[in-house]
Amino acid sequence: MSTIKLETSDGVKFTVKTQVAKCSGTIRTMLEDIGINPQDGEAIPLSNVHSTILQKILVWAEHHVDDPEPPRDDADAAKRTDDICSWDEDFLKVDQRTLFDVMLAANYLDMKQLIAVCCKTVANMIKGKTADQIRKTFNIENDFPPGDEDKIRLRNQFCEERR
Amino acid sequence: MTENARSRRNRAAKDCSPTLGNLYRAVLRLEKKIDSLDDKVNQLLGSSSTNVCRGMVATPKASFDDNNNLVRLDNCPALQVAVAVPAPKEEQYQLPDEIWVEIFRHLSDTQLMPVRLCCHHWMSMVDGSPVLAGKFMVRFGPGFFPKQRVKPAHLYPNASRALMQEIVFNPGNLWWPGFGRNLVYLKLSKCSLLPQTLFEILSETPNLRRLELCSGGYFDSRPSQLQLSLFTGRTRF
Repeated sequence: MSTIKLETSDGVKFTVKTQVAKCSGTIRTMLEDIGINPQDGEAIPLSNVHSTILQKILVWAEHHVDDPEPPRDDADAAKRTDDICSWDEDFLKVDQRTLFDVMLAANYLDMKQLIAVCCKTVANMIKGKTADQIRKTFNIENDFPPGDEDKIRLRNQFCEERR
Repeated sequence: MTENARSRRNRAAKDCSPTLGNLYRAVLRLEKKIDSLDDKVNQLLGSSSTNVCRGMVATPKASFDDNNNLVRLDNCPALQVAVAVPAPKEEQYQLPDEIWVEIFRHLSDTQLMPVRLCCHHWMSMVDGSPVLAGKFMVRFGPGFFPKQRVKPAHLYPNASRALMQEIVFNPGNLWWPGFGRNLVYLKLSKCSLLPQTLFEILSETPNLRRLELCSGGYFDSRPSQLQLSLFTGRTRF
């Protein structure tokens, strides 16, 4: 089975099965369209990804390498967040910084399914929380002047759930 | 320095030997000078919360906030001026906007309400995304509408869907154009309005794709159980 080398931002080289590396749209494009030849033995530089994060992402890719292509994304479809498989759930039980780093790396590597499952995880972190609790969860500073928040809250009362 | 301490020193200056007394008096003069410098520094700092030190010989006392950041040092003017500069914020692990919008797409509109309330940036992300803003439906209940000139306070700004229930429309709602411009869906349920008012509203709602009129006294002469759906624009739902 063919392998390729990947080099992370901190200079660590990984030897990865080509099939696993191709979970990343970015790497797939490099190999197929731009014509980088992995047989040359030269590592593909991933300048935006740290080795600790790439290692984690490769574990995910290894596990999901045989997954079928996801159905076409329908923008209007109601998005479920309760369909995360238990393996992914355990995989993403990490601190927020790691989770966000994984998302940034997955975004850079163009790994749609990994981004999707991370988005669901973060959405679940928001669900059922008040604005204050959300701010606390994500360390967001409330930059509304006092009183403005109440106005917006009132404004919200005019809205109802889409049916 | 407290007045007590000062008078104690004054007394001490009188009671002790001449050399020591001179020393005390020198100390007192220095204290006065420091006081006047303090005032100047305080003026320069304006309403800054720091209090510049008043004691000459005192151990600097540090205090920390919940996050263990140094917030102030008492009795040490130089350091206090230094800490008057705001401490660097706790690091935020932030994501690009497009990822946040992707996350928010998993939320229903009731869950998006608190998201909009978090900060200006998040509010602009929700309002700026047609997919997210389109999840909201603005609802007007009975007795809400009648004032023509006064824009309803706190209206959701970018609402693309609106439901009007049991409302008597008057002609010439002057605030409607700004609100109607964003609407793609409008449902009037058990409302009462004249044909010209309806056309007036429609002419100020250029992006409307779907209008539903349900069970109301439309056009006054029709029976109240009128069911009518009118489609405009290219898209049908």
